[in-house]
Amino acid sequence: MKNFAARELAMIASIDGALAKESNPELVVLLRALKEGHQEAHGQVAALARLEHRPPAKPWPLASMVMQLEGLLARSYSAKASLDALRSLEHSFEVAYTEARDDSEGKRRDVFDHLAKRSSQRVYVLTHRGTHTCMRCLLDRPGPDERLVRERPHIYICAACHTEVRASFPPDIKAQLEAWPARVRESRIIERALGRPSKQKAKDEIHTVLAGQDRIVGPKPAGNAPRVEQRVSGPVERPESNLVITATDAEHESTYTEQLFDYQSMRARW
Amino acid sequence: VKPRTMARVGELAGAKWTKSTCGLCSIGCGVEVASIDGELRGIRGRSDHPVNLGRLGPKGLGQWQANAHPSRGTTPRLRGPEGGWSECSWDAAMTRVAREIDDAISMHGPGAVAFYNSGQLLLEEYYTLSKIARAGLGTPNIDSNTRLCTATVAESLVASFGADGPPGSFADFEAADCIVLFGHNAAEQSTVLWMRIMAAKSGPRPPKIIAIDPRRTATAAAADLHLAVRPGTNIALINGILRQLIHKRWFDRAFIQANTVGFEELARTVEPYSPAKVEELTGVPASKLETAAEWIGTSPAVVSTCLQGVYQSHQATATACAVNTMHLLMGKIGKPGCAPFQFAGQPSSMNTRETGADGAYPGYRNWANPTHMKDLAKRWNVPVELLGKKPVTAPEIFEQCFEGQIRVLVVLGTNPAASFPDRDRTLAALRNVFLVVMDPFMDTETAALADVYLPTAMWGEKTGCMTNAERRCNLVEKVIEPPGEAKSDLEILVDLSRRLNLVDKSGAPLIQYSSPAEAFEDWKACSAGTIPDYSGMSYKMLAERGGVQWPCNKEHPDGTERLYVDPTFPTAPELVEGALKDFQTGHAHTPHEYKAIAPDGGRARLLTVAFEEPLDTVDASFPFVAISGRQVYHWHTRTKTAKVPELAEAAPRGFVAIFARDATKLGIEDGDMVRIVARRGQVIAPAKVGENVPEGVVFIPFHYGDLALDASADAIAPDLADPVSKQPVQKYSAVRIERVDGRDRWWREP
Repeated sequence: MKNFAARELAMIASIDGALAKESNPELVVLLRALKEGHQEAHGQVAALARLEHRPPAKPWPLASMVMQLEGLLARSYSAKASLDALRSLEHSFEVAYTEARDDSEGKRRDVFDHLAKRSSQRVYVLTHRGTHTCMRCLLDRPGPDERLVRERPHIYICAACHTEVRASFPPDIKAQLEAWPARVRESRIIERALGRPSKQKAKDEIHTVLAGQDRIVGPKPAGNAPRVEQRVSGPVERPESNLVITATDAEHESTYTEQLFDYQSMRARW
Repeated sequence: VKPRTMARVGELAGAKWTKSTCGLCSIGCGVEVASIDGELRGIRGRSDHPVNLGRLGPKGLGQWQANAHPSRGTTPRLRGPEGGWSECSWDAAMTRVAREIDDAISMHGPGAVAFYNSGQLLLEEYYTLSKIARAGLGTPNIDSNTRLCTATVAESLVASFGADGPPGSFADFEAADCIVLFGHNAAEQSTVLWMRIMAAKSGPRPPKIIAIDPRRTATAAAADLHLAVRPGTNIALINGILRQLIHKRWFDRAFIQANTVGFEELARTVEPYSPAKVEELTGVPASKLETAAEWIGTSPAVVSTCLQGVYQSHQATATACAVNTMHLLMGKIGKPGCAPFQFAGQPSSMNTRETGADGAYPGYRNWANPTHMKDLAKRWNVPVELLGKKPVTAPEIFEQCFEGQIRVLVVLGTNPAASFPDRDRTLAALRNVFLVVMDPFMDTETAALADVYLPTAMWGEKTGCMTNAERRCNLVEKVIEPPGEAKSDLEILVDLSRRLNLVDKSGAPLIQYSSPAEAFEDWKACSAGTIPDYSGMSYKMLAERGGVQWPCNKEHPDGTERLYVDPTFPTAPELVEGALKDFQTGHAHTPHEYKAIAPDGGRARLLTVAFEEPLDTVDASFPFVAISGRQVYHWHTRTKTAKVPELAEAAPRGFVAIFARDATKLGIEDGDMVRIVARRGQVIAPAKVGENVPEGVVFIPFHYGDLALDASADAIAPDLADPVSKQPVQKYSAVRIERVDGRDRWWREP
């Protein structure tokens, strides 16, 4: 097996190199998403190694240096060149994981298949970037609603994500959205769009389809869960215990303490 | 102050007394615990402990009685295919847990695993969990139930001062001339602190006390001034106070110029909040607002606290920041009697934030700062590339469970089935994952849903640290053995790490320790040089001194009573714990964006925002506002306190407090059963009719999670959170009131 864990670390290092220089907030979000994708991939191959009782991967300093160098050189020219370099590297992961999948069976094959597909999705994202990068879906898709743009800090949500996220609130909140002032409503849509569940949904349901794959749908609860008849239990018979309180000459404290241990006094305040 | 002793004891012949720390709330009182032949027999306050001088509250006095309850778990349990539980060996349970975790991660990535922990564990346990999750498994999905109580503390301190860390000390309450309690029902939440305040009230320099709370609570009744603010309007009130301070020139111009940024914008933002306007928005009479501002502005020393009335409300982080701003405006910070006290609620919620077991990184390191991450990676000897993931919050974790994105959820020492908002959705989320529950009790609402239940040791049965709300790290001692095969959370986590074969960069075990003392040493090394620096502490020192306040290091070998004595704030890009977030969307500035707006010279920010209407809309169908809160006799979802005879007797069941005139209009009498209906759920409980709640508002205690009885206040709380802290808005739900059959007036019973 190729040293995928070490290669993933090297890729992350190269993305870090780009991140350190990037000042465009939309591209910072894109680079962070790429980085997290590779961190997830590293976790997957490490877990597979554990399941197969293989030793953890050793670092791969040469690859790291090469990748960082590529990334940094690209950065010295432009963001576009840097992202092109990352796309090229990403493609090499797609190829490597696909080969590994084809050489594997069973669970191992499933894991590499998943990793190859995620790489393929990232290649798609890096290939189909628009002028703007939506901070949710990392693309810039049209849609029936307006794009949401804010400054200080800069925020960009594409029109399609605006529509999708607006429709994704729990029913009781969705029913109230129209009643809220536009700025408040849009702020809540942005907040939701930038949350991890919504971004993950964009990967699972948008990137997959655009990359020609089946959407990833996790297990879904069947409506509201049935009630569980469970309550914490009350006290059981125990030997009696005694409360002992020494006096204080602080009048206010004394009054309060008496209230505290006289249930009716406190109940009167509820 | 003359020490007094409070104790609750059973038969004591031959008892051994062990010094320890109370495990109930964030005050961190010193205690002595009595035991005979492996059973707890009583407790008393430590009269030599600087926090409580012998005092204890009702919960602290009763806690030892829960340890021996028959609902304690003694063996691990696995859920079988038929849905029933069966007892199993630790090996079988842990093998299953490790297998599920590795399966989920290998197929879906580390993000498929999540940890939801507590504010009741020990520092060493949080730290180990944080290290396993962040450096071992690589999941960003780790948060604590402190998200429901003090997440806003951290965010407000970061926004105002650059980093988490409450600046003051409890001693400041005794040195203050004015104490302002924003949404902090201290008489029911912080009983020993309230005793100290009441003692000060009887002393030679009694402070003026201002209570800000919609209800006339025990705290409000004892205060010199009660501002009964309308729910959801906190920020309007504090903006009104800030405006008065500016208009009356009750601010410290030299301090502002030298140590803060944002005065002009602040003045512009608060200008519309005249006393008359504030009265219109909040219901607080203009004259009372003027009096409050005068007391605050003219008192030489002012302490403010915020608690859930702020943190679980609309515009939470902004309001907490505005309270920080009030102190900065007057230069009343870093001096005796002067502190904005953003209050922790749970006994070790501070530790979750310090060690990175919530949405922070250990040592208040900034996840987006490569230098901070390199430093952490070096201390942990792991590749830096695996760190620096954006932290994930509890509402996001439960949403991911609901969406099927998380496959394995490990819950440690907390009860989200009863405490998390929008309960039906939460229950559905919990059922949608492989659920591992680590808890001392088998009878919690969450344990009932578990696929694997792991019995844990509780307070009194394990050793470690808890840091209180004034940054004082206290030692909690093991007094007796846990029942049956129950293990400490630390033992379980160390075992899990070894079964998962988590290693560092050298291939050595990631967790190389097994005892609490060794874990503490590891944490000390990790925290050295950071803001919450524990490097100068030792267990011996903590036990002897009754705790030590961080930072404690070579520079401050005896700890630190107050932060910002030299008012230099860690707001510079290289120091800041987190870049400033937008109050409306919660989105943070990128590092480059932050560099452009970072205050220079270690200055703090004067922050507030304009008032916005609360989001859960009050209309003809839902004409009332429901708020929730605590009762002094219970803790959270009563998993411990329901088992203590005196506490269960004092508050056996829930209720709905309704304003008398509202009740009359609806034909409801005291004790009538009512149904409180919100857009997402309902609560059924007896009506407690009176005048402690204002008109148009109902109050429901949040302790009663009983899943069979529709008693949970969280069933009606909306799935909305503060955009910055992601702390759920549990104190504002639009509801209607319906009378149903039945009567119960338990509060009239003796």
